Amino acid sequence: MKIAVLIKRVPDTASVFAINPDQKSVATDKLKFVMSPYDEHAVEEAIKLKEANGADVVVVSLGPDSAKEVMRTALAMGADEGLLVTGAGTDSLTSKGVAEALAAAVKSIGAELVFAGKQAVDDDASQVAERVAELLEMAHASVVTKFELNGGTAVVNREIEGGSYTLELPLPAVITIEKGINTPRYPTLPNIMKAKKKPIAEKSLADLGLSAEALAPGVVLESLSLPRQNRRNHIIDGDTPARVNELIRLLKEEEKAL
Amino acid sequence: MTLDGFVLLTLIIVAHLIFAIRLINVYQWVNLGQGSLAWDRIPERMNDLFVKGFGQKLVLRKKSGIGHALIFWGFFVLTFGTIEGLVSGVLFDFSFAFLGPIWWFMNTCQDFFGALVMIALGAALYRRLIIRPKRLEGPFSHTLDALFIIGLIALLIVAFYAMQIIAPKPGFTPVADGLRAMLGITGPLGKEAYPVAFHSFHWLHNLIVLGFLVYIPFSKHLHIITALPNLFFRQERVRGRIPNLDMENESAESFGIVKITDFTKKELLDLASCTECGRCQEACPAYNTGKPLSPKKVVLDLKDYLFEVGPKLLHHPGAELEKQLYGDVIAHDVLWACTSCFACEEACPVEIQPMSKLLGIRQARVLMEGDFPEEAQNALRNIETQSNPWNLPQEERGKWAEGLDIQTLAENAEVEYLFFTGCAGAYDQRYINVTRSLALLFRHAGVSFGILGNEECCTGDSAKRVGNEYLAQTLAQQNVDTFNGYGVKKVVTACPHCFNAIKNEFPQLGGHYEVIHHSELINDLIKEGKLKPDAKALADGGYTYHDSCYLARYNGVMDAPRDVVARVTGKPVTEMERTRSNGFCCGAGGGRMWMEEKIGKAINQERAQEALRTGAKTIATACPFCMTMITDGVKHEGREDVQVKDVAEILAEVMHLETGQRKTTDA
Repeated sequence: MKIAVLIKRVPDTASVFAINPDQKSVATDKLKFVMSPYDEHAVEEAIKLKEANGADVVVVSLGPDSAKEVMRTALAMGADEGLLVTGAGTDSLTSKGVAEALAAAVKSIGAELVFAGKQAVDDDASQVAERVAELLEMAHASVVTKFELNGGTAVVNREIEGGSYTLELPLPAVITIEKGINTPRYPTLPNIMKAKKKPIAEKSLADLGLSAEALAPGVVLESLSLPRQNRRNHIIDGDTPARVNELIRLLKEEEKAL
Repeated sequence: MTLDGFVLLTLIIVAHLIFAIRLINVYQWVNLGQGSLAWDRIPERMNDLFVKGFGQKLVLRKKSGIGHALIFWGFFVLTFGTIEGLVSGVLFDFSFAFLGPIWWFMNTCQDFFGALVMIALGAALYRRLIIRPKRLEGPFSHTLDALFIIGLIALLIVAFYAMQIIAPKPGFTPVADGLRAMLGITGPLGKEAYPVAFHSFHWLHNLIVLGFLVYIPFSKHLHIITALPNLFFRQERVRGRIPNLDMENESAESFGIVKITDFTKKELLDLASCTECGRCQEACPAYNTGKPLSPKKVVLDLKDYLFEVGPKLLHHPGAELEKQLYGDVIAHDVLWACTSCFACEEACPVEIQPMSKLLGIRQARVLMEGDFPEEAQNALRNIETQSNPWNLPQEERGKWAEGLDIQTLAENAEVEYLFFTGCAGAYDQRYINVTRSLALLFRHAGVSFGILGNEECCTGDSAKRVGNEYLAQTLAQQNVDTFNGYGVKKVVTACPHCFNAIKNEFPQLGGHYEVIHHSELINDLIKEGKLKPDAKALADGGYTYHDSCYLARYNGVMDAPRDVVARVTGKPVTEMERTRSNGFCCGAGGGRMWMEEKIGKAINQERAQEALRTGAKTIATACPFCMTMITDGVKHEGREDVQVKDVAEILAEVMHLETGQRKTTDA
């Protein structure tokens, strides 16, 4: 059985973000990159399945050459090989285009089961895995907190507010993973060393036979902005009546909250 | 030869055979370890053997050691008579009489030491049955073993004096003479005068000696044979340095200690040398607060395991064992309770290294299995990503210096000191006040210094002591490359963990610097008159000082921080019960800072209570981890009136240097 795990290289959320002057892209040169945390759980789930039932785990990603670093992390956790969609045209894709490319990549390796994090923590779009399922006409379950393979079907739990669904899906299927399903393992040194030698294949969009039309964005990015930052901390001095008066004045005049 | 002599001779041969075979076995099991015992630096080793071994230097650090030393020296003195006794049992009437005055002198010594050993045995008995100190806690079988030996030696001395009473040898022997007078024995003496009595005591003496010979190597008294070699073969090491594992070694099957035979021969000799004195246990912060870890038990459990699986491994090297080192011998909660405070290794009179063994097993758990406490995993992942345990942005590592106009080495590398802040110094909102205080003090004193700002990264101290050698070396190398790139020669740091790593571990990766802790530098600056504390500005109420393990025990920095406080206040700090190299850990070393403490009493509470007992209103520290732990401990005690401050803050405050930082941890 072949399992594909879709993973994404994202900036660590603790990084300090800045928007480029064009107002349409994030300045990436000073950022630290990691594997999107939900994807780590997806990789772990695939490896657990491999250890229990035997499987070939291929991590699939789309991004620049440096995306290989996070793929190596997945390989060190125990995935067998990697497939990176990279090169011309891959840096400007929206979720739709990424899904087209990854669907083609998954198809090319013939995976029966596809895992992915429930969303990537950079753009939080939660679209790619679902689109891949649609494009490949696979069954799909999202935000899964428990996964079992039962013959040719997958039995999964989806947590919802105040309860949970239990679903049965025929394979092939795409499953997106929520935290809490497992604890991603800490890679061991021998596996880190082995991972350095595991193969990561590279394919361009052309290799996957994708047309410009399929990759067309469908949406137009107007502008990017940072959330409002820097809460103003203001400590008011004086005796209590004076402080209350000052607080009311600030709320009225400066914050216009009253 | 009489029948009597023949029987004794047979017994002598049998006892020695049993003794020899057991020792050969022990040697073979120890030999299962890696590497070889070191025969280099013979003069130094001989010195160790004489000073620490025969001189009992380490044993005598404690009062109870006097008893041991007396029994130890008495053993050698009485051996004179023992040999005479054994040989004359076979050959009749053998003695060292031909040595003349030496014989007279030895007989005199024996008379005195017999009594001294008896007194020491009494004290040993009293400690085991009445006082029962913490360090002698353990299974009852251990106590029984000790009592048996004490009884045996006592009986031996009784037999010795009985013979001396009946048939005195020439010498100044007031004890034997006194006993004889007390018993009212007068008239002709000599073995001919009391043939049955003398013969019986002679046999008793010989049987005990031979019984002892057989019993020793099967009991904890094996240390009589192994402890001296253990001191002689002591591992050459730099205090505070965990030797780097060779990460490039592609043929290595494993990293760290997976199997008992992964230990070195010297480490296995350690196991055979333990006498269960428990000084390590008494000093251990984990044991003292109800954790399942006792360094003594670690050593004894490993010893029992080695002796159990030794025979099998000897004949079937690499055989699969039912009992695994990790899990079956050293449990998870034991392994991860260690704070790497070094108190156990400092305390051991025969240089056994319990802590190092645990850290070796940790390396295997982390590197080979990725199996270690989840909170520590999170901390290490954070360090991997942002080079600090809190996963705060690397880009803000230099932010603490905002408004102080401090140059980075990138801006100007022509400075005397690199001021290395460490993660806590850069990010911990409380500790930033210490970092800023120091920067102001340095500037005030005209010290030429620069910082690395965002180029600084974690030194890898925690990673190394959790067992992630790979990460630790990566981080250390990164720093070494940065330092060397700027031609750094001197480093001053406000974190004892960084201090230790840079000073003792970076040299392994080509980083050789003169490293100084901030307390030393500011103390020097006061001495040179470059900093002048204004004692009038001082908040009164008494000061105590808590020693950081990595500063005091590991690196001997004990006076400087005390001196700084004393120079400010005009009087020495009030010492806690456990201070200086006997200081009690705050609980945060060895990566414990990042793990939850779920078992027993919190170590920081134990230490905070001890600090509060001094009555001091200010607890001075010189380490960010200690500061956090002691502050929490004091808060837990509800003592809002007591402050925890770094020595640098105490100085900066009386010099009216305003850092613009808040000085408490509450939000």
